[in-house]
Amino acid sequence: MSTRIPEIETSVNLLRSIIWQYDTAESVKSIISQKNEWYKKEQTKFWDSWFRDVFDIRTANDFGLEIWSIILGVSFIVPDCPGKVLTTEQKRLICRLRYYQLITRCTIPEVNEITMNLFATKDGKAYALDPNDMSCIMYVFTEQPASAVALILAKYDLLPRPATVGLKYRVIRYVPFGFGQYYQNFENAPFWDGGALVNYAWRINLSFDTDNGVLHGQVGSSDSTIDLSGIDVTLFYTKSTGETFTHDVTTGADGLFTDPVSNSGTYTVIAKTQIFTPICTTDDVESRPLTFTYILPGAEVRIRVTDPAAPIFHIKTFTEAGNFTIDYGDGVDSKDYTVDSLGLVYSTRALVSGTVYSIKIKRSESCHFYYTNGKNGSLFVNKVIEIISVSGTRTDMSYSFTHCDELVTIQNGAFDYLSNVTTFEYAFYGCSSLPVIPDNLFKYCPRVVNFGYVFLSCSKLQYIPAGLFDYNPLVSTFRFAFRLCVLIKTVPVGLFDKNTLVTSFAVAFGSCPGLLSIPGGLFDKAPLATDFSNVIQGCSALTADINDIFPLASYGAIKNLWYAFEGCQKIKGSGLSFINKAPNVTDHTKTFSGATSLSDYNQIPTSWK
Amino acid sequence: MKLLKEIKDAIDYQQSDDNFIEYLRVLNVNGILIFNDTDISEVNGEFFASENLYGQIISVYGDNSQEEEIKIG
Repeated sequence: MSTRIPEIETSVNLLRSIIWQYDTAESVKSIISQKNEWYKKEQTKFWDSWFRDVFDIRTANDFGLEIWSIILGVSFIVPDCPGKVLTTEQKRLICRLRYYQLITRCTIPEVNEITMNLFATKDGKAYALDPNDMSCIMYVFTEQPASAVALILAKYDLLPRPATVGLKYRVIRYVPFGFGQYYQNFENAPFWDGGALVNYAWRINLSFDTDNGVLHGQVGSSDSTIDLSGIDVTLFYTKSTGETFTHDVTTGADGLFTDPVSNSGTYTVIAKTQIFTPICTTDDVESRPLTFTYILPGAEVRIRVTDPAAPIFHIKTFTEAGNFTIDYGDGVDSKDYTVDSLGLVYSTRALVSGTVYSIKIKRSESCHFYYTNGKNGSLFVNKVIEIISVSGTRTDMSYSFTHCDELVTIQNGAFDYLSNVTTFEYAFYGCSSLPVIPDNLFKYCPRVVNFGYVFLSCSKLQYIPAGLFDYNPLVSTFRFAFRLCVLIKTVPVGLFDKNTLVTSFAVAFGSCPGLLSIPGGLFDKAPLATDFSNVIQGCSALTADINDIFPLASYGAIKNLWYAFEGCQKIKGSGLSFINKAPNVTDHTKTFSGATSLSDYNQIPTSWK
Repeated sequence: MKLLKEIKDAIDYQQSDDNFIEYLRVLNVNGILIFNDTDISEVNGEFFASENLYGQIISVYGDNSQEEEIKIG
């Protein structure tokens, strides 16, 4: 079979027709010459174009290929693949295969010549094998055919084969792994992918940029020729709290996509998509789960704006000015603020007085909601009413919400991503509208050493959740922790059982007149506790037995009992017994003053009352 | 150099110097403070902390030195 197509002579030479009598007829010669030039230009060009664009299947354009499809009796509407638009190259391949199919005798040498002609590349070859039983003719490719070619092979029956003889494909992507002559796997079949014509491998790789809080992903394919842009990917997020949600993204160039993560948390994310393959099949693709923890430095609160011109929060670290952003509830991380020389942050938005704004501060490790000039309480007239979260790597939460006297809600898990905090001193001091502390508020703050004054003067606080400090084993002081929490009626059992390093419970429950009971042995797991000054001073409704509160045989560490039980007029039990259990007390000024319900109040030495 | 007693007063640590040093070591083990044996020294029976260690301790507890000591009686 020849692959050569005879040259078509399209040149015209009109000058040959001029006879010798006109040799001197310059005008005639000029006219003929110009006409010849016109023919040369127009006719030759036309026929050359026709030859290229129509006649030669290898170079024909879509118009020419439509003509060839009619001549050859093939359709460019891909079977079982509605809407698929073939490229010109694919149409050429269809026409050429159909042409060969019509003219070949289907002998193996002839078929091999065709396959090498059509499919061989510099990296791989293609050839046909004859099993010699008339069952099939096997086309072997030593590399994966490109998607455009695979579509034609999969959807059209155009490869030459003798009548009644079947057709098989085998793509050798790699040498099968195995042993011996046939690469056997311990007398079984070798490790091999089966050699199917199409064996697309898809993948979705995920990674998380912790600096910028952005999930990055890329859809990849084993076939680099496939366009992976415009693919819809669904991201399934599961937060460590059990919350689930999805985000939809679309791939850009090279199958890349991104998804910003806006809240702190530990997430597991899986990306799923359906890819419409070049051979008109749909493949479900799923990434491996990616687990990451994102800690967004900042805070999210709800603030009731009373004076739009007044500051909304304060930053302790001035260098953060200009770097942090504020989302005023519209989802836009803006820099619509100014920071004065004191670190007070003012909104430049047109905030409306009387409106509650959800404010999310990002990239600030020092933002807090208290500022004082040293004389007055908080200067803030724009009041925090709800704490949604504070997160970051900050170590200092002291004075973070001091005198937020309209604060009524702290969301569950608000401090779950504050693992480096060491001090909550005065954090909620003066939050006089706060009724409830959420369970496990400090569970993920294991480095705290200082809970001094933390809920001082939370006058609406109704109860203390059990186990509030169970995950804070390094605390050394609860000084003034719940003083003036006047509505608290009970203290949960074992509240301090995990705080074995505490040395000071001074004034911890001082001036809590609503306190009715204290669990037995509340302080027993803190053998180093020395300072119990004012510990329950002024708890006038407390009816507990002092020796139930302190049930151990000895409290040798206690040194300071200044006013410890002063004013506890209903406290019961033997004061002398307690005195005997605390032999090392050095300051017992008015320890039992006013504790007149003690069974032996009159026998207690005057130096103790 | 800062006297350990002064540091204890500043952070409301109410135990002996020995217990305080032991506590600081616990914080060291937990990565909250970073220091070595040279940061704590003894002179004439008094214990001192280096400026570095003092700074760390104050930072960990929060520098609220402007607060006045309150004694309720």
